[in-house]
Amino acid sequence: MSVKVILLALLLLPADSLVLFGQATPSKEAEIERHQQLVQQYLSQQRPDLAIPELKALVALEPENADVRANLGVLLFFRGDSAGAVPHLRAAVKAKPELWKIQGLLGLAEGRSGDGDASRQDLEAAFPHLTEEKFKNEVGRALMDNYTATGDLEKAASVASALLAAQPTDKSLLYTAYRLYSDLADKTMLTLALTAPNSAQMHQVMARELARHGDETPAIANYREAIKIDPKLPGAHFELGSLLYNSTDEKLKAEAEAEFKAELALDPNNEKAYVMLGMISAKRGDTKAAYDYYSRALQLQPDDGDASLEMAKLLVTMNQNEKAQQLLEHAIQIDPSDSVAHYRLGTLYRRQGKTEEANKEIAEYKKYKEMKDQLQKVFHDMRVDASQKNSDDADLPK
Amino acid sequence: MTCVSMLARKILMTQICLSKRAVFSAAVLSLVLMLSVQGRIYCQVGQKTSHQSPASGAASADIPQLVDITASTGIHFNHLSTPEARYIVESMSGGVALIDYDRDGYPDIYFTNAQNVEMALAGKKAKSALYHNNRDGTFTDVTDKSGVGYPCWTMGAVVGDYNNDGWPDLLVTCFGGIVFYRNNGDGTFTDVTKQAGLGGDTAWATGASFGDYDGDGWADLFVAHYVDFHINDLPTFGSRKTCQYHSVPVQCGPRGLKGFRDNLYHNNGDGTFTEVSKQAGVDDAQGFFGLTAVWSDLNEDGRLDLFVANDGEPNYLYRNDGGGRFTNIAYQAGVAVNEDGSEQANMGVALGDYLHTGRFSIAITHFSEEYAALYRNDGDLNFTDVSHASGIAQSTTSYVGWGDAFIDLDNDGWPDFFMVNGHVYPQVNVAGIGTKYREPKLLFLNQHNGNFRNISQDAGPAIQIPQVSRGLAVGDLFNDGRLELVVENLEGAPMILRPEGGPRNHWISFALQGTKSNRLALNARVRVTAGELVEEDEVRSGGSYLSQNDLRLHFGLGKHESVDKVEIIWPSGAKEVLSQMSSDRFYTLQEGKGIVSSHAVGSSSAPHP
Repeated sequence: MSVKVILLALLLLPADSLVLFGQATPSKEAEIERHQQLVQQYLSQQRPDLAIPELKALVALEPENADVRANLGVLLFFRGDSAGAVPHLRAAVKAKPELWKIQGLLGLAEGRSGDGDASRQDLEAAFPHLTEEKFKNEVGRALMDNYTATGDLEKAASVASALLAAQPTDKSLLYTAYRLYSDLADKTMLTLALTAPNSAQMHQVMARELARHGDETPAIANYREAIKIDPKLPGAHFELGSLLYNSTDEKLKAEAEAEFKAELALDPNNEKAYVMLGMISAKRGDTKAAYDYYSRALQLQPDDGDASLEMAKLLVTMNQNEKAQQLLEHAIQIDPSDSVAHYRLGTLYRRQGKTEEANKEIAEYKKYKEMKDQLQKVFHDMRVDASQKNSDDADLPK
Repeated sequence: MTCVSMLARKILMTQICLSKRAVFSAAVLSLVLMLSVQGRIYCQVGQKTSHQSPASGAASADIPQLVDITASTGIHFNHLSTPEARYIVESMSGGVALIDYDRDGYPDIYFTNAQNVEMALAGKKAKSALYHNNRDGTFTDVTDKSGVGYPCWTMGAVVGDYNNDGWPDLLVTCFGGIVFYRNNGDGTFTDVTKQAGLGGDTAWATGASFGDYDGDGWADLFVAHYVDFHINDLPTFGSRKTCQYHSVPVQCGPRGLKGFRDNLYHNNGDGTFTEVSKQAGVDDAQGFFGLTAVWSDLNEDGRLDLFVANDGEPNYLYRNDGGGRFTNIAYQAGVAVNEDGSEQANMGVALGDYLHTGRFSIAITHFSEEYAALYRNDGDLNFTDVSHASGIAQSTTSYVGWGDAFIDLDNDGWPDFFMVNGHVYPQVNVAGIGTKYREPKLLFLNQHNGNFRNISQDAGPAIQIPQVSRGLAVGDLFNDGRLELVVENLEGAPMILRPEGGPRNHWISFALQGTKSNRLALNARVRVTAGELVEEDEVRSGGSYLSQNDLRLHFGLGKHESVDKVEIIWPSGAKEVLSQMSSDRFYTLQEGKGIVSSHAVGSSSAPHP
């Protein structure tokens, strides 16, 4: 066992736990003190193998001492004796329920000992109280594995979300979360397919899946079928409208507007639909209609970044730069990575002679634009297999 | 949420924001990415426009009809092409130049031509052509006599007078550098490329433009370069993702290929040029895919700025800081990328004061699935993308645009907008996306309020004929006060369009001669005031798509029979004001002397600088 592990083990307990042994008779007290000293000595010499018998002796002398039980459990766990560690850790937690780290360790030990139910109980109890990132991560992952093993994907996903909140860029965690969310989506889709195969919702799901694979025509057909089955299906008109709006087929694109309007007929508070109608109007050159749509969207949701940005773009064409600037600044508050908002704000700052601020915004624009471009490149490259990549290189002029 | 995750979210959600209650899935990302078409297409999700068919309706008496008069001109030029266009270099030629090489006051026409790869490998050349204007509506092929038939694998051509002898010289851009022809003044030209110090320019040159950026009275030269392309090391047709268009194999590039840097040549005033690109700060170190370049004093500070359109890359707007130094401020100025911060496939460039603000706005043609962009000049080098608000964008997204121009076709005093189109890939016909290789031209009528109306289907059948057009040059070929449009096509014959009918408005035309300024008065500005009309224009070298317009400035005057005031700002900084000038006449104005000649319509000796 390495020093690092020993230190980690000790960190699981309060700093003074090794000297807080209970009351005893003088001779017993002397024996306890001797074992205690030896424990400290062996640990300082990085010899947990020698410390463990001493702790066991202490347990024999004071079986109710939670700290001794905890320390012994910790050392046994890190020596790989999970089954041996469990009773000691459990006793410690029973005596001192606030020992969250010990309970987390107990959950891990139980899991490794094959007692999944007990493991889940202890991990669940400890997880919300853990603050040390590394240990919380380990407990959280064990808990996610436990949930996944029994098909409790929703619970596993909630743990993943909690961990991601603290570690949003952790590669391993991101993958785990991705896997969980996609499994959850698959599970949901299968359940829907089994229970309501001809429902409007099933067609809506299929439409999304088809769109995901770029199958525009069948995706649109499924949306239309979903709406035919349930004309009041929440969100269906909006989703269909978005798909149509982004179509390269001009005829299909022209059909988007009606869908957004249909969505608003069902849900007059859908500010996203107002934004889309505003964009359609703006591209048509109908400034007044676009202004009205964006205004309504912002009235419904002042913190809608897209509404803020699109309205700002429109205002610039109308020479209302001051209002546009405020909206762009707000859009960036909402989403600091909004490259377009940075770009447009940079141009407005320059008009006011704020060269430094303008340059800063343009630099931000370039930074986020580059990140976005790189991301697209990553996805592109991943879709091309290695042989194709080699072939590509061979085709490049020297 | 961190910026990284916010960005990821944004990419996922941008524009395909499904139900606000719905969970956004990777499905959306897939869709977004699939919409990023390869090649020149850098379509931006969220900026897609609803294509409006050109306005339909019967021809109106208010709208001139553009009539194809090519057959009657006696021009039999034929631009070579290949049916498959397997290489990008076979798709980019076709600039056309109006040059009054004999100074008889009537614009002559130079058509560029280009061989294909197969021909080039076999040592064969394509013949460009110079047509002399016979002043009677016809032209005569004078190529052989003039000596400008075989400059190179030609892309485009522009006019300048590098030695200030008054005879317009011709610079030809080539796949393989530039060729500079000195006008000998006797109907012939001499290739002076090497002796002028321009022989070192051997890359794929595209847009060029003469302009006196340092105000020394000698026109300097900027040359944009496109792809670092070599005929002995060709990319394989259809082989890579960047060689496919909507999954159909096509020529490779420019995306996926390497770009080439641009060059600025300072005119030494002794018949030679010195390359000063790097020290001037316009060397395009990143090697963007440069196409059209234009000099113009866009912030009216008396110094020439430079705009360079880059294909699929951010444009350059070089602010002239004086002292021979420039700073690229395209992003800050709002012209590097479109309103959504996205690069577009920038091709042709037109400058014009379409709003009567006295400032030149910039119109840029683009690839299909993008839109022709109109950047409104708000002053002090600030621009706003008003493509949609102005009514230009909607009708242009289906087409690949090339040459473009602000041209007052009805002489009402407000510049209209014209653009020619034609796809790059012949294979697009089988892609099943509704876009075709041959495309019609588009005409937009200025509504006098910042908006344009698409009148393409009201201006006669000629411009609705689909062609693979490239170059466009505008000028009054017949000195009758109507501006003709000379369109060079990649495939076969050009098309010369003449406006007929429409309102019978008045006009005035100026030929400028610099004395202290460069002789052709390049970038001299003229402001014409006629009643409520206050128009401004500038003499420019280059522009459109690798083309050259008539150097004379033409102003429509509406119903005004005279002009109250004409203000000229010469490149030297000198200002002259003339007043009470009759309409429907051609004037020659010389720096420091005012009017040196004046001719009415039909004169056989209409002026030329």
